[in-house]
Amino acid sequence: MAASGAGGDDAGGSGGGAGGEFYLRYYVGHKGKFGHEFLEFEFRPDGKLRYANNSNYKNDTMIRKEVFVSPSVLREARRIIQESEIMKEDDNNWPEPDRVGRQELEIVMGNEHISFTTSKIGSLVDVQTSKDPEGLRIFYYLVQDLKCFVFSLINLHFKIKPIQS
Amino acid sequence: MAARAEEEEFVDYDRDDDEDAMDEDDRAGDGRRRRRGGRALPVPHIVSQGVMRARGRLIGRSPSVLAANRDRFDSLADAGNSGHGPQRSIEGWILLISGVKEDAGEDDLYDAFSEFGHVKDLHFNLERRTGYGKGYALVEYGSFEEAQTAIRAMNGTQLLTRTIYVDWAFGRGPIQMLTNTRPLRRRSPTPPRCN
Repeated sequence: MAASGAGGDDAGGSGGGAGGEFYLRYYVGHKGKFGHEFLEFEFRPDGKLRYANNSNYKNDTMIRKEVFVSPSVLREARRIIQESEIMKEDDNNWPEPDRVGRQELEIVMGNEHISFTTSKIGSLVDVQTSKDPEGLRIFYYLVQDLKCFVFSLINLHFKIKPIQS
Repeated sequence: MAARAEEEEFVDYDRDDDEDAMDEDDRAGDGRRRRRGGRALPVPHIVSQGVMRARGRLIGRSPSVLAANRDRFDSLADAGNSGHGPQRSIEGWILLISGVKEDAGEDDLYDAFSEFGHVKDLHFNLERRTGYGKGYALVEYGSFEEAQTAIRAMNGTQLLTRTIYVDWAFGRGPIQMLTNTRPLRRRSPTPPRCN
């Protein structure tokens, strides 16, 4: 089957000016009375999208899905990240992960590698009262936009409804 | 910095136990000795010498269940898993439309793409901060022909004065990276070598 039409317009790292390197991983989770509950996904440079969701509530089993996305999808993820300007931020002054939970965002783009961690963020109030509201706000919205993108991809491909962790 | 990146490539990605994943502080409290230490990216080779700047508290110690190669991840891919071209999704064929104007509406997309067949599903996601469109949409058709016709007809055309790009969302195999001569996937459980 030929990757005809628009499928052919992708010479790897076009758009956004950044080089070919791209990796994205996001994790959110906690340990509680239902064990280790988390949601995690990653985009690998070869287009492999991996998604894992573990909720032990009512003995749910872990969901593990993977699919190769097209260069266009990878480019869109890259655009969302680029426009957020998260790569300029730093997690130094963000709330530390705690009992309530942990978030991790790891991105390699161009020649930069960020690997941020913080607590769960309940709402914008948590953002405003933090020591770095501007940076944390960028993280807060970016994470939601990325989750939204990944949930749509997983939902459409597998016809499952990802659960918000 | 370059030295550091090399160091990070030299780590052990195989874990004995999924439960390790988040146990830096072992709050589970079962007292078992956990493996920890210098894990970096779950996909080691992508942190190459080209990565000049690394930032964040998690650098060099990120844990991830996604890295465990022995875990089975469900996929719809055919056996062999190394094809070219678009991958069918469970109920049809999914297209990504990018470059969508932020004040477009779901109905604009639905109308435009219904020209080529029955649009079975449509996700037009909104930006959380502004409530406007995030710039992309995902469309599902039941048949390959409908989806391919939509790509051919709509890719590079104008929708509400903005050029949109239409392409398959999923592929049958890894993206071929023309510029990258290093293997994309680790094929053996041996730790990556430092070149």
